[in-house]
Amino acid sequence: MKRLVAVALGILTAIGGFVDIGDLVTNAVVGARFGMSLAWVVVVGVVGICLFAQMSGRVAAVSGRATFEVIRERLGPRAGGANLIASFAVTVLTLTAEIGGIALALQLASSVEPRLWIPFAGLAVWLVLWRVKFSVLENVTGLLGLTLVVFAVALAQLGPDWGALVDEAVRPSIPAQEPAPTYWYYAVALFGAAMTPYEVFFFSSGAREERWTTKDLATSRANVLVGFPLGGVLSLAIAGCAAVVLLPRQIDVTSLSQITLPVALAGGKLALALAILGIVAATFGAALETALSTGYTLAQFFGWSWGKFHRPAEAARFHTAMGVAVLVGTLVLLTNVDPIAMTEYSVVFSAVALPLTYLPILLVANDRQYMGEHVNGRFTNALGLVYLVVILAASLAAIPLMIASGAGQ
Amino acid sequence: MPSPRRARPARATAAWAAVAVVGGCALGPGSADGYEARTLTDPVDEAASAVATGTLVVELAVRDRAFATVADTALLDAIGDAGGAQSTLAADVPRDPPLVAARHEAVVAVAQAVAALADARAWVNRTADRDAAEVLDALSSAADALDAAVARAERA
Amino acid sequence: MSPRLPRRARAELAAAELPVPPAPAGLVLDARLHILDRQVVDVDDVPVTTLDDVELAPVPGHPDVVVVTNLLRGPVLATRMFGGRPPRSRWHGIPWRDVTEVGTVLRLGVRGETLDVLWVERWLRDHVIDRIPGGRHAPE
Repeated sequence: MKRLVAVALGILTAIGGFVDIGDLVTNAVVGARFGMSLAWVVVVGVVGICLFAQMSGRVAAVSGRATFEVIRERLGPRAGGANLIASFAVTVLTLTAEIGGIALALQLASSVEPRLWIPFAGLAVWLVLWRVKFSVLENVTGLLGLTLVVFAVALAQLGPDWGALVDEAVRPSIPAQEPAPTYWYYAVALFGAAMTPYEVFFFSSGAREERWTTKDLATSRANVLVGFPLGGVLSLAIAGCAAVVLLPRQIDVTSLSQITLPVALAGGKLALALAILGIVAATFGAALETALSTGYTLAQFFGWSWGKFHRPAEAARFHTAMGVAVLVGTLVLLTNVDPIAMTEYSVVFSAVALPLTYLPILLVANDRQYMGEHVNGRFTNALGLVYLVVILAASLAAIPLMIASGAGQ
Repeated sequence: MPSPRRARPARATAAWAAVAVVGGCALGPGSADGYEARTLTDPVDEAASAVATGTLVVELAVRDRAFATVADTALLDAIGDAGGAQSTLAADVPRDPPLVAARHEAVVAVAQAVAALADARAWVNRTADRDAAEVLDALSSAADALDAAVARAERA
Repeated sequence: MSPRLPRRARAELAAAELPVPPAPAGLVLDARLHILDRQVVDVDDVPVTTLDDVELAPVPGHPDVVVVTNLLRGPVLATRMFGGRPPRSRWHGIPWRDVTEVGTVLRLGVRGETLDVLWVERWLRDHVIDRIPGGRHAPE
């Protein structure tokens, strides 16, 4: 019974923790502009993140080493160092976007300007990282983030033409008035939003934080294979709400407030309150995860002592690095950059940095010295190789597409 | 001779990478063709999106389906978008006389949209002397003016 | 005239010219594969550092034999990518005699507190973390 509760908790946390500001904004932007014709990218991205999260969790549980520890050993110092810089930069960019998202969501709840919320959001993120235990931190934000399921409920209540939506998703085509580079640019952005690099660092380091062993492999597999796809369903629901309400009115999504309007239309004030709560929880949780990931990448590359299971005094460099990262993110936001624009850049650059994170995991998951008998099976390897090609293609195409489409103009 | 042989593929790769990146400039909306019409229609479309958002928000507020804070925030964001569109249009200097006239009409239409959105926000905050119907009418006529401006720009 | 050999000739050449590796009794390690860039942990399993370099020195009396004297850690992130080496004064060393095990991690037999390599950690702990309330308590 206790095992069942643990597994259920893990799955629910995975669902609630799947959506972050990148998913929220990119899915809404895409839904309001392209309808459901980019839904296939979400499916591809979810399968990919399931594959790699499962691999990285298995590596961490079996070998007792987290991702970045092995990246340096496997790639060698030069490639490992370049990997560190790129991954760290993208993660800090994502962290900044997430803190901005918290401030925007709090503005929705209070009408107080986001700039006033930003220092509080940064401070709150740092305080939780300082004092709260890892499992509490993950479970609370994950469960509260589950309220985002209100988007799926709202979509059902809006009574859309399901046949048309499914048809658009299953037989995608570029809409007449949108140029092809813009369509593919948003495909890459959506892919980067679904397969965020920090998720892999966080998942494998979290496995070490919670002291997973080979006995926990089944739980980890359940969390990933059930939780993440359901999280993907939530992403599709956000896109669907935008497609059903915003697309016919020709509203382009440029702010967080527009994303919540379909929920208000469908379910009134109660649904709106749940949506705002869900957005605050999801962005706060994602801010915690990205901040922890910045700490993990640096500490694991340089060999510092790391982990929330240590007292801060025992992991001084780890906590200092995270504190500095949160501070930098907060300061950047205080210069009045648009958090939504930051989010859009962070997902595209996530797509660019993807091969750096996924290739080493694929290499290590096949290494018998680390994995013993738990190396990748043939199916996993085949799928992993296919995804490596897809990831490389997305990464190489991202910058040219960004230039060609004028960053989605 | 190992050095040129190793340098040649590296230089070739760098050259192809540069071509690929810069090649993106030649394709798609980022490229320099069709410049004049799009510089007018893009900001007007942005303003039209802001007006549509404002209309939706006011309708939700009338039916009491949204909190005042959310409506206020959404309208503030819409005003920001429309204001940005207005600045872009006002700063644009087209050369052909038909485009100059189209730009003038676009700026006037966007200004009308900004005013309607500001009144809508005042109404949401209960500081306006208008009622919901008047606010919705103002938004609707702003939307019509924007549509006319787009049509004029595309004809020019 | 292409300097490249045809494939068959290359294979024969390789087989003929490769030296036979020594096979002594004991553990044979490849420094680059097994030692460099590995995690070093102390006797309590606390991570110390990752290994950046290894210092070799000739054995007095046997000029052909070199042994490992120190494990080195230095500010190499920039030099690895752009070239060059940091000066000798910037490197911290861990004596090789402290190493008890070489596996997926290198295990030391001493506690991290005694090592110079961890001075940044100690400095930050004493001057930053301790100043912030709650730093010494376990998270709740």
